[in-house]
Formats: sequence, structure tokens, C-alpha cells
Amino acid sequence: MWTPSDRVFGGLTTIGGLCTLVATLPARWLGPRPTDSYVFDPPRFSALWFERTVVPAVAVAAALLILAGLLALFRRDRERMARWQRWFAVVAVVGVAVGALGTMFVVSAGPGGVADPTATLNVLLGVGFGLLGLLLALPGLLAWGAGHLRSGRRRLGAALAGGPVVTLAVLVVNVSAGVSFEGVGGLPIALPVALAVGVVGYDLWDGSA
Amino acid sequence: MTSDTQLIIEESDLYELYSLLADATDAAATGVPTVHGDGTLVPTADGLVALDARDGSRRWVADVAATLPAVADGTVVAGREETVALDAASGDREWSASTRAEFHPVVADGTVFLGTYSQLVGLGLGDGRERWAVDRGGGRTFSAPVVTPETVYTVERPGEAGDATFALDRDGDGAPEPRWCSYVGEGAVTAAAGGHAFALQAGTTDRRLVAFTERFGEATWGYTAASRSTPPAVLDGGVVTVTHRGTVAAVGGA
Repeated sequence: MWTPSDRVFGGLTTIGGLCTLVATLPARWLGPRPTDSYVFDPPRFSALWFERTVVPAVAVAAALLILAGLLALFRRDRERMARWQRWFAVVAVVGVAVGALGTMFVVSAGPGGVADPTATLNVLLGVGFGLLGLLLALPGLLAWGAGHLRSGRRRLGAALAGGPVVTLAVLVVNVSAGVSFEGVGGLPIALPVALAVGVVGYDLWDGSA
Repeated sequence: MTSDTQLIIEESDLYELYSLLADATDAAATGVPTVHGDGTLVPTADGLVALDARDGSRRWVADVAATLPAVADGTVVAGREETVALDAASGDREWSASTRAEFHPVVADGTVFLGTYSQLVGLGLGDGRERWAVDRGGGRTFSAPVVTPETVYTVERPGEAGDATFALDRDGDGAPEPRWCSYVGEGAVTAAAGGHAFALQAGTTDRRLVAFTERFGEATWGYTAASRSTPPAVLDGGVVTVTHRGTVAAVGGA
């Protein structure tokens, strides 16, 4: 059976990083976005169409590609990792998988959001899975990255540990210090993640293990 | 009322109209008169009365209850418990349909548009047969629509929630498809012109006139009067409204 090489997974993971950026681009950058009314069937390539059609698909693709990249990284490095690092890596991968499931639940609710009971349940389940995924992925990635830093693989270690830490720091600044990201959407939060994912993708592509 | 059939009556003309009505019939007016050619259709307690606009003589009277009759292509459409079409010249009944409009009927391009208790319904003007129905479920009442060549505007009243203004794409003879909707409070779309729909938003103490763009339902401007205002008329590209205290306000236009 053909098994994709690490290079293939590296490329896919890098695309996942790009998808993360695309999914968080502010829709208003692409044109005027009506806010006073709900538009049922926005014209193709309009800001609303991008938000309703492109963003959900790209967000799911990003979550799945990042999960695939981490799985490939774990498969490649598992023999050389310490026992504790391996367990944390498993926790991180499970966390990202749960987060991807949460993304799919939220996306399945559609643009109406909480318009009907099923959509409301999907959003609640999605948010729940997302928080659970975050709780698992955050310590998992930190420890997985710390292990690589200790073993001298600074680039990969910094990406795995630094991506979540910087993202968390940006979130804290946003919420507690009241720094507004108006005008740039979710980019300040997504950028560290996208960079970290890009580095993981490059590491897989480069085959420097 | 379609966007191009708004009528502004001078106060002196209005007195004359009611004077003509008093001469022609003893019955009290029960609705809003409609001017058609050289005649006037007046809903009264005795039925729908057609008057000659020149001398006020009565042309015919039909046993039809109405609030605001619609006229197009030589046919008068009116009704409360049922929808009835009459020959505009003779008053003879052409057809009747059991569909009951919650408000007055609107006629445009050979179709009778009716806002009913649960649906927005389109009947053929020629035969009264149902051509299409927009049903969004849940017993939502639809207000009398405002029809433009591209769009049908109506207000959906769900009962358990606030009213919502709807713009629906007209698709040939098929059922209009929802394009956008917007919460307007307890109000109604009352006119449309120049790529805009004009809705009256009801507040606790006043009424606000809001202009929505036809394409995406963006609220481009609003006008709040010191007292409640009447539904607006579109005149020379502007919007004219009158408050209950007698203030006439004109927005935009020539």
C-alpha cells in the first residue's frame, strides 16, 4: 500500500497553515459586507459569499491538514522521543483532532448560526469540543516542543511550543488588556499558529529529523 | 400599492372627493379610495362603489368588502373574506378566490399579490388561480407587499417574535425567492423607488422612516419625526411623509 512520504505531508501541512490565514482574513477586505440585513444568497465572490462559503470549507481543511501534519510528525519522530514526550505528543494530537471535530460541528451549523435547535446543538457541541481540544493540545504541544528544544532541534521545538504560547499571549492581551484587533479580524491570533504550522510543514518537507 | 401608483391628494380635493361620495351614496366610506382613469373606486359599507371623477355620478356598485382596491388591465381586485376580481368598466364579477388577504391586494404584471395569514400568495389576474405561494412555516402573517419590477417587499409577522422586512427576488412567473430580511420592529414597507425600500419602524413613542437598499438591505438613512408619521409617498425622486401633528417632511428628491 502506498504511504505518502513526509515531503507530501510537509507540503499539505504548509497548505494547512495558509488555510488558517485565509480562514481568518477579515471579509470586509474583499468588499462591502452588509450588516443591517441578512442576505440569503450573496453574489459569488462577494465578501459575504467568501465568509459563508469559502471560510467554512477552508477552516475545516486547515484543521484536517494541521492534524495530518502533526500525525506525520509523530509517526516520523516517535522512535526517537522520550517516553514522556511521546505521551504528550499523543495528547497534543488527540487535542488537535478534537478541535478539528469541534470546527466541523460549528461549520455544520451553517450561516444562520443558532437559527434552529439542531444548529444550536451543533454550535454548542463545537464550542465544547473546541475548548476540550484546546485544553489537551496546549500542554501537549508545549511539552512536545520542549522535548525537541532539549534535544537541540530548536526550530521544530520553537514552532511546537512557541505557536500556542504566542497565540495564547495575543488572546490574553486582546481580552484582558482590551487591545482591539478591529480591522484585522482574527489574523493576530491566527498568524502565530500559521507560522508554527508552516515551520512544522517545512521540517517534514526538509526531512531534517 | 405598486411603487409607481402612489397618489397624493390635495386636502381640498379630498373634501371634494368625500362630497362626491356623499352625493352618490349614503353609505360611509370603509377604506381608502383608488383612482383609476377617470373614475374613483371607494370602499363603502354598501360595497365597492365606482364613481365618475368628473361629476361624482355612480357608475356601479358591487357587493364586495374592501379596504383598498387594486386596479390593473381593466380589472379591479378587492376583498376581505375572499378575493374578488371585477370588470372595472361594468363592475361584473370576473372571478373569486377563497384566498383571504390580511391586508389589501396588490396587482403588478398580471399577478395579484396577497399577504395572507400564513403565506405570500400570487394569483393570476386573468383567472384568479394560484400561481405560487411563499410559505416560511409557523403561521407567519405577511403584510400587503410593495412590488417593483425586480423585487417584492413584505413584512413577515411571526407572532412570537418581532416583525422582519423581507425583500424577495421576482423570478418570472415563479415564486419569489428571499433575497434579504431585516428586523424593523412593528412596522411595514410602505413604498419603494430608486433602488430603495422605505419602511416605517415603530418605536415606543415615535415612528422612524428607514430606507433600505434594494440589493442587500443596507439601512442607508432614517428619519425620526417628533410625532407619528403617515406612510410615505414617493414624489420627484424624494420621499414625503406627514406627521400626525401636520408637519410635512420631504427627504431628498428634486
